[in-house]
Amino acid sequence: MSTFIEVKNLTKTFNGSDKRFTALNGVSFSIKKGELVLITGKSGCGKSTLLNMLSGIDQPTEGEVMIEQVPIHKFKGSQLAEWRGRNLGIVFQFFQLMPTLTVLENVMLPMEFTNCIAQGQQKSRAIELLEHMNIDALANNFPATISGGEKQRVAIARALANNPNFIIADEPTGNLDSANTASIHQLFNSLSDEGKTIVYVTHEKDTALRYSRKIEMVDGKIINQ
Amino acid sequence: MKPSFKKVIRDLLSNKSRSFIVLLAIVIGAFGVSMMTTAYNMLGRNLSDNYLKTNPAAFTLVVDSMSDEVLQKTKLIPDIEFVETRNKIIGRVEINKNEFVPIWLFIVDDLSKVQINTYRLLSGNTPSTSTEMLIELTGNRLADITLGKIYPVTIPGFGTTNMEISGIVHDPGQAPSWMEGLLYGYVSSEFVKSMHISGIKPELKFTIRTNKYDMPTIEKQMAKTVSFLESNRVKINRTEILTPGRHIHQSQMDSLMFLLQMFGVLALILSCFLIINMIMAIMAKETRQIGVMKAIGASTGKITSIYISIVFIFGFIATLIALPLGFMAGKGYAQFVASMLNFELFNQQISHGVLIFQITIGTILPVLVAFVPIYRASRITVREALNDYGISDTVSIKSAHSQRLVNKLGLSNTTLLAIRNTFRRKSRLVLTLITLVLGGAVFISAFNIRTSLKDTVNSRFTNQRYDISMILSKGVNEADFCAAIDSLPFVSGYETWGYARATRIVQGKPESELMDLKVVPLQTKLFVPEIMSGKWLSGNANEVVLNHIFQAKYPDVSLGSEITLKVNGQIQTLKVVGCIRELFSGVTVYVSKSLLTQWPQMQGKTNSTLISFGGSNSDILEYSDKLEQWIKAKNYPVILVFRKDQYKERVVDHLVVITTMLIMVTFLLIIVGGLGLITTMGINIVERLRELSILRAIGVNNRKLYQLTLTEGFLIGLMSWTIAVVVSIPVSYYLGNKFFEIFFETTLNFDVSFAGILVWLAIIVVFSTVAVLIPARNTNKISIREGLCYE
Repeated sequence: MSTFIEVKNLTKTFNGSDKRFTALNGVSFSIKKGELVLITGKSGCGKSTLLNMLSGIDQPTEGEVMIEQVPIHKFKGSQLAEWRGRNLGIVFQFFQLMPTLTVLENVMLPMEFTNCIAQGQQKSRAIELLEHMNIDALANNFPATISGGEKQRVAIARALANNPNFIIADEPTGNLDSANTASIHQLFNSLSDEGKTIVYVTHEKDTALRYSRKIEMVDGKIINQ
Repeated sequence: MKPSFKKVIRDLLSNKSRSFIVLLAIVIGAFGVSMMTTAYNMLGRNLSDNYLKTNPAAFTLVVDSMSDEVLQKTKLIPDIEFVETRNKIIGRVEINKNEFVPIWLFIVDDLSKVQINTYRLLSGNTPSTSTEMLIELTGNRLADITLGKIYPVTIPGFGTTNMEISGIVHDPGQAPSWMEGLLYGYVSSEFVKSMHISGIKPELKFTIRTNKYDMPTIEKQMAKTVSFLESNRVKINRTEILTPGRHIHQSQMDSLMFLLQMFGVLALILSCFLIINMIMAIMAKETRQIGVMKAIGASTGKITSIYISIVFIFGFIATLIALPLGFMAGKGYAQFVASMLNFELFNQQISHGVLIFQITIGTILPVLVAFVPIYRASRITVREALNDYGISDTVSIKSAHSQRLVNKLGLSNTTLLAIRNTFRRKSRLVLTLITLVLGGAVFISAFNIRTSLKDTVNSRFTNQRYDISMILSKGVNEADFCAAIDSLPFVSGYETWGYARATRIVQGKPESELMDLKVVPLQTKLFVPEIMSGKWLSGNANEVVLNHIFQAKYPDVSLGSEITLKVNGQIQTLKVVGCIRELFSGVTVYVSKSLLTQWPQMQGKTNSTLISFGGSNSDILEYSDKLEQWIKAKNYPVILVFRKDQYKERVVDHLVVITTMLIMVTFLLIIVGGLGLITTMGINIVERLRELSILRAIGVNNRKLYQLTLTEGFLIGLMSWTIAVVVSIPVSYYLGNKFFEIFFETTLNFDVSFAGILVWLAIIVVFSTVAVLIPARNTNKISIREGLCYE
């Protein structure tokens, strides 16, 4: 399998009012296409910062992030937004659905931003994704009226809207009960089987994911990969 | 519709009160602009349809006498369009027993074919006999002017005759009758003959064919005409050119439009600040969602365009609401102004250009104003946006400072927290303060101007210590007149003055317009001059004191300079020793009685008297009635009996439009200022729901929370109030003086309205309470768990 993500000597420092804080300290690793990689570590170990670097949400102080040989660490605001829209799906811990959009409209939103999917096909694509997540019956519901597990399925459907090759999930089951957690894990496994490269961040040690690799972090450094 | 637009629209609809305030903010601005431009446009369009359509005389020549043959020849002078004689006789109409109203009777050559200073027959017929007259419409507020009504009309020195109203006319060239306190009548030359009125010097009115309103052209044409008439042995008694194309009350219109313009612009500025405030608040609430949208692929430009489109839609809806309201208000205002100028609004439409301008302002301006806060909010990075939990660590007051404050003032921790919270969002605080300060400053200014106006007007009447001023058409023996007045038990004091009409002579220039010349006794007690510069008359026959209107009209005249006046055909050169302020007056000069020694025809005579009655104001009507009976009995040739109380009433009428407008403005400002405070406080509280929930979770009770939020509201309110009071002084001083300069050609007796300051404080306190209590109560209804989960 070819290299999908190449991270070299990644460092991120934050300037506090009194002192500087190094969240990531010279991190390097690579991920192959289609891998499902679990990033774990205690709270404050730097996993969210690493995720922000991989998704282009934040920029490194030093180092490189190459995704499908694209140097995203060099991108600026709108370039990054466009790249994310076309190539990346993000699943958040708190779902982050738009409360005033229906389930269907939430899934259609990324398609509108990137226009990767022709306008006439956006709705059918969204319905297809909802069917895939088994929540097509909720298409016209607003997020406030559905359960946490259903919300996370909607969030995953939204992440897949533009059919990205790369999915980042930031503690996606952190707010779910065990039954829903198991169901979401199953979904990620099947997405991995479909060839998506998934980076899954969690602090849960006993995750039921069938991961191909685990990166463990402590104090901004990788201690095990 | 695209999901992103659905999202924003549903967001706005989900918070109806906030959206309503945004809409209202835009409506207020669009309304201000619409009202202002509608009134401007409508008055501008009707100005030419009214006054200019009367074909006002370009110049007037008063001649001793002239044959019909010369008159016909004059009509043939090249570039002269029309020539007509139009004399004016001043008389009195007895509208009720012993109740008189002055009347200006215009003698018209051919009532059915008027070509200069025309009027429009509204009802009835042109007089066919010498005992019929036309009456100007606006006289209906002074007398019953129904067709067929017969009134005794007295022409001083020539008797009384019954005149029937045969028609009602509208004459936009005259100031409204109700405002001037006199009627305008139009009679044929047959009337003059039937009353055997003699001594009238023909007054020739001219219009020219080209460049009708161009002063140099008119002056040139008048010089040619004067030369022609003089070559035909016609003696020119007086020449007159009124400011071309300018209505007699144009300055009042200018000043009213100035006020409208100022307050319209201020309403617009206030509305802009309110829009910025609201948009900033909305965008602050949207931060996390903006972060998510950016995380899933939306660019800054895309997010900006979504929110800008919504502002545009708001602007469009607001324009649909504001434009008809602004049109109605503007039309109402135009009608108000028109009534003061004796206009009719024939054309009640506005031009397409103005309509497009109004729509553009209503829709585009909010977009321009909202662009910066929207763009700044859209530029937030995903990380910053997703890390925004509604609890900020930053404070603007250093803890050491605040601790010192606590120690010094003995403040509680709740108060200290409220003070720190107030300064947390500095940019929002500044915007809120600007909105409130502007609103407050203009509100207090409106009160200051009203108070100053009232004081200035009152000072004018306090200085006039008489109740009645009387003018006779010719001098009567002063000793006899005084003896007769002395016998009147209800007269507590009187002074005999002199009165004449004069013109100013400047070499190489046409004679000036007519002005009043008042001959003053040495020790006047019934008139207290308000000296602006120089001194009052000392009794020297060569001294003259001017009023401020004279000085405004002839700025070349200053203290110590000499002016030449023509009075009753006599030329008199006098030295200017002082200038007095005299509101609601025409151009007037004051000279000492000692000057009469140089006018043989006036020696030992008087033609003007000031009379004061004893007793209260309620007695004035009774005493005036008795005075009229006395005048009738003595057969004095009275032109005018001027009652100060009636005059004051008319002045108040003049000012009613201004005070009404100021009240309108203050209401508008209460809305804008109040909305600003309510919005900011409401958003401050909602935004800190999580923080307030934490306080509740650690044991702070609802009463303490109310105390905390109320302190914050009062603090913002009081800060804005203090600054507004300070700012209002130069604002009201400038606006009031500017308005007064245009309206009265003088400065205002500036006064600060403590009532205005206190009313604004009360409004601020009420709004602060409402602005805080409603969202605070709603917040307290939310459970601590829900509050802690709030995003």
